[in-house]
Amino acid sequence: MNFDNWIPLLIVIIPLFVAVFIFALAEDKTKTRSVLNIGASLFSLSLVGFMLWGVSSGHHYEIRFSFLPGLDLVLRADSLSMLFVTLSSALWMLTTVYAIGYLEGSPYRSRFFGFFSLCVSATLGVALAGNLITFLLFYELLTLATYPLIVHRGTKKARKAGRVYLMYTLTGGALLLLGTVLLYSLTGTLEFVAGGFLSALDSAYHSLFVLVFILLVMGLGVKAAIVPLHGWLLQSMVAPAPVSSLLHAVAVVKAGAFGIIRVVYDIFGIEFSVTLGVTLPLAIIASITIIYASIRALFQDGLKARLAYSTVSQVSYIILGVAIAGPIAAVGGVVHLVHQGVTKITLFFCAGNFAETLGIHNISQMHGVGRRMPWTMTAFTIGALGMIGIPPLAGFISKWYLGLGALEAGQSWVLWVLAGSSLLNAAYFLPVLYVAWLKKPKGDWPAEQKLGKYETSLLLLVPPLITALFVVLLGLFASLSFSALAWTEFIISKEFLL
Amino acid sequence: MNFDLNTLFLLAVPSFPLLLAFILMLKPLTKTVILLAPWMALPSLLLVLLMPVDITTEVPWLLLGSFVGLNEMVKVFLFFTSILWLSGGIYALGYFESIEKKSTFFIWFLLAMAGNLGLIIAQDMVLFYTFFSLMSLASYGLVIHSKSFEALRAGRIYIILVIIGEIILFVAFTMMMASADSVAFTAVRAALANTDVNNVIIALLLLGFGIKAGIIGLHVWLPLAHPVAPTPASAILSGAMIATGLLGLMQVLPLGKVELPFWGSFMIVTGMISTFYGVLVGLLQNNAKTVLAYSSISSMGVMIMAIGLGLVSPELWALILVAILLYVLQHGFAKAALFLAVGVFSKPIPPNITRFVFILALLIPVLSLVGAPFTSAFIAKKMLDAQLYVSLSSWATWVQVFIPWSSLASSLLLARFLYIVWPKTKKEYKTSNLEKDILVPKSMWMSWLFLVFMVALSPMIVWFLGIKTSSMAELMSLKALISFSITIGAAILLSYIVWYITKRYPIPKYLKIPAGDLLIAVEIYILPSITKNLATSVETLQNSSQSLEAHLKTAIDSGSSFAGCYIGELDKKLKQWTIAIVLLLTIMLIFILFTWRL
Repeated sequence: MNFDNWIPLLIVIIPLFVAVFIFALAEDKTKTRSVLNIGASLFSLSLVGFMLWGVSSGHHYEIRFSFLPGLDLVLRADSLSMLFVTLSSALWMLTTVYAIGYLEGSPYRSRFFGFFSLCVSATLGVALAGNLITFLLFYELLTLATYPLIVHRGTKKARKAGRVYLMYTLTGGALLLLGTVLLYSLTGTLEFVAGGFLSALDSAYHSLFVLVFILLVMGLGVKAAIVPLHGWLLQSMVAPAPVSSLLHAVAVVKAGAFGIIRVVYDIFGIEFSVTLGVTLPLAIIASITIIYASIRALFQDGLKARLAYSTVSQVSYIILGVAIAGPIAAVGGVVHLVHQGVTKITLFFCAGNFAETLGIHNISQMHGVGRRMPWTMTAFTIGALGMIGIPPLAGFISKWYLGLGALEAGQSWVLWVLAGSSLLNAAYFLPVLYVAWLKKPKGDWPAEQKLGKYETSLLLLVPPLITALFVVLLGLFASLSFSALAWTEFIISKEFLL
Repeated sequence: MNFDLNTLFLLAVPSFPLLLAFILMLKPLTKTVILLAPWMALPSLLLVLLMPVDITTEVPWLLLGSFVGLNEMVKVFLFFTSILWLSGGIYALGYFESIEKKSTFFIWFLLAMAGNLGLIIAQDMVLFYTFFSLMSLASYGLVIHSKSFEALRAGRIYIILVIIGEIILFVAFTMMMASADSVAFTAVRAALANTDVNNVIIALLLLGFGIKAGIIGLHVWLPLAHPVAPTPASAILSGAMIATGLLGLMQVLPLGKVELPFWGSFMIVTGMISTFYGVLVGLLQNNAKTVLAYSSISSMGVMIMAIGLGLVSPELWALILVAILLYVLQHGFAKAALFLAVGVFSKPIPPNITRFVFILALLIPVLSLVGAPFTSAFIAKKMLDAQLYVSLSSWATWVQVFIPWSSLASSLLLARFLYIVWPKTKKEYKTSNLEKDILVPKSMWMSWLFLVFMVALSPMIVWFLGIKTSSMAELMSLKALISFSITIGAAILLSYIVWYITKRYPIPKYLKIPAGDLLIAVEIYILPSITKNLATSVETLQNSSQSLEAHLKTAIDSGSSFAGCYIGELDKKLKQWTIAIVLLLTIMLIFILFTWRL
């Protein structure tokens, strides 16, 4: 066993250690805490970079501990997990910077950053989990680590949101556990294997496998916010902006979507899922979610609520891409994991900036905000156009592959779902842009603060600008070999055994 | 990553304006930067003049792997488009007084320029689509520039149609990609020619590009948006950007390769209807720029018809293409020149040699648009005419009858335009209290005269660009001269009669059609009731999400049973499609309703 294999463990452990240190740190040691946070995230980012290089040149990183008799805890870096790990650690770094700026001067920061790190650790664990039991462990840890972040403000509303969140996710977790136990009792293994491992088994089990599939996908669907399991996401909007950003772009919602990808590809195998006949219903549910959530988004005046419904809709693109069951659509779906993450985090950062700098929470208060905060609004505009899928932004690439993949798989109706969703996206994002850029301010802002010599403090301004830049670059140079698209094609070529 | 020189030159075309737009965004109000703005069209002009044709290079690192290139068609489009942007830009330098306005205007101007020039050199769907979106979205900033009520309203309608067009094109392009397995236009055309005709694709293409080109029914935004934009922007919108719809169609349709009688006839008929409809509604307008916008709809109709002819008789396409290129080039120059003239003639013209030169310069583009001898529209129409004798299609006779009538119609409309903008006579000028010697700034009338000069030269320009046309001498005949005189005579006579009658008996109010024609009917009569109904239904829906889901389910159930009982035995796939399309239309309606009150 060489050092290489310890890297996945190290990546999970670093934020865990950071969390422990921060909990121990006194509240007023702001500088130490910030240095620790940023230093740790930079270090793990470089580790991820090293591993990325390794995985692309064919190395295997795997570490295994025995957990229960016959069940190991496995951390493994394959191409799919690297996609998620890279996304998580890069956005972790930016969100940390943002959170330092956002929470400046507010109470209980030790607690916040501690759970924040814990949350990242759990997400990285979910990404690197090499079998279903490890996945489940980190998935539940994620649930628990996120709860204190949602109720951070301590208001009545926040506590209620936390309760709802726990109710939904713990029920989801229970279903997931049930599915896992059932699967284990049927097969005796829970390892993730590219191409799945169920197809080789006795066909007498097929109806039970369908049951397992339903249990697993429903359990994961809670976090992926599939309609009608999406209720908690709207409630948890009370959390501070950095938390919402991370929740929507990377941690919780994505953990659900990522789990569904794992289940379909590495447990059932895509061909076997088609044989079982579970992909078409999944695609239909995803499509309904896409359209329904977009329609709901139209009626929200709260900026974060509108963004939240948009998340519900966009995350289902990922599930749709998987459920279409063709390699090209799969590329579109999986690459959307990254594209949606980067785009949505931009939008949430911007929403946070408006709230923190000007006290704006609703779209009806955004009149003329483009003149007061042009840079933030530029980033927001790029994000919004990216969500609509205007080329050359990242969202367009995902949409293009999803559409093509749907046609290739002979499911042309999906194309119309995508077209409808884009229209609805335009219908709920363009009015925001219009109001912000073209309307005259209504008077004083609800609660203006002067932060730094620019439109807002640099800690708040730079992260959304960087992510907005990525939204452009990921689309504009999608065909380059180090783009998310190229990496996704590499993943899919393995999953489809091309 | 290999950078060959051709790629570099071609990519410089959109990069220059894009770069300057970013610089202007970072440092607005910088005078020198603004002065540079019009010249960003110069690289593409140089490219046209210096680069050999028939180059296509691959740019593997851009988007999903792109192609850029230069061929005959691209060259003509690039030539007139860059000249329009150049002269429009110079005109705009004098048009705005406050530097703030100038600065915002030029940011949008440069972005739209980058899009327009970029989409011309793009030789694949994704790059084309990218630049097409850039142009369309940036033009929104041009349309609403004055922020007046009319401008915002026009902008709203414009952006709604842009987004709908974008999405329709997205669907069409994905479908074409799926059947061609390549994004390159050459591959797409070949695939569309080889496989069975995919009617859905062609219908979507006509819708998507028809919005830009102002095909009848989809034209409603055009007479609202073109006039409200600042004059230099209207000139470019109506001269250059409108033609990108045609370019798009010609890039993807398998013209000259297969015969598509249905779609060909369809385009011929819609083209003809657009031509006359534009004139008819245009005649009732009082604003010079609106009249010109309707005239553009009418001219686009002629070109749509010509493309339709190419689909009906593919063997003639090579020559029809030449006619279209000639026509589109002279239309670009002439229409833009007339728009710019509106600005020039808005100030009093001193009754001396200036007046004489200006009136002459006003008449040249008018004559060119009407198709007078020695203009390129004349060559274009004659060439089209000559093809028709050879054509085997029954449509040929129809088109032959149509062409002289279209000339008559457009001359009527332009007579209306002249009537509106005609400068005051000597006597009126002297008695008027207006400030006397203020002529528009030099940059404005000089760039205008430059465009007029280009109109006059356009037959030679086409030859210079290496397009083989029939020579003027070949087409010139006594018969042509006579028929032209008859057309002009008839136009003058008719205009006079109409003028005489309306002087006595003014047109009753209910006969006046507001700009935007069909749309206004929708806006006044149909939308309010839909909004009301939708509002009530939304209220009920919102009451509980439970009932919404139930509603959704019943809606889908009844939708499918509805589709089912009508389609009956047709296969399941078609049923899926019907539901999908019905749903999409509903969503489109929701989209419109929500953006309506922007």
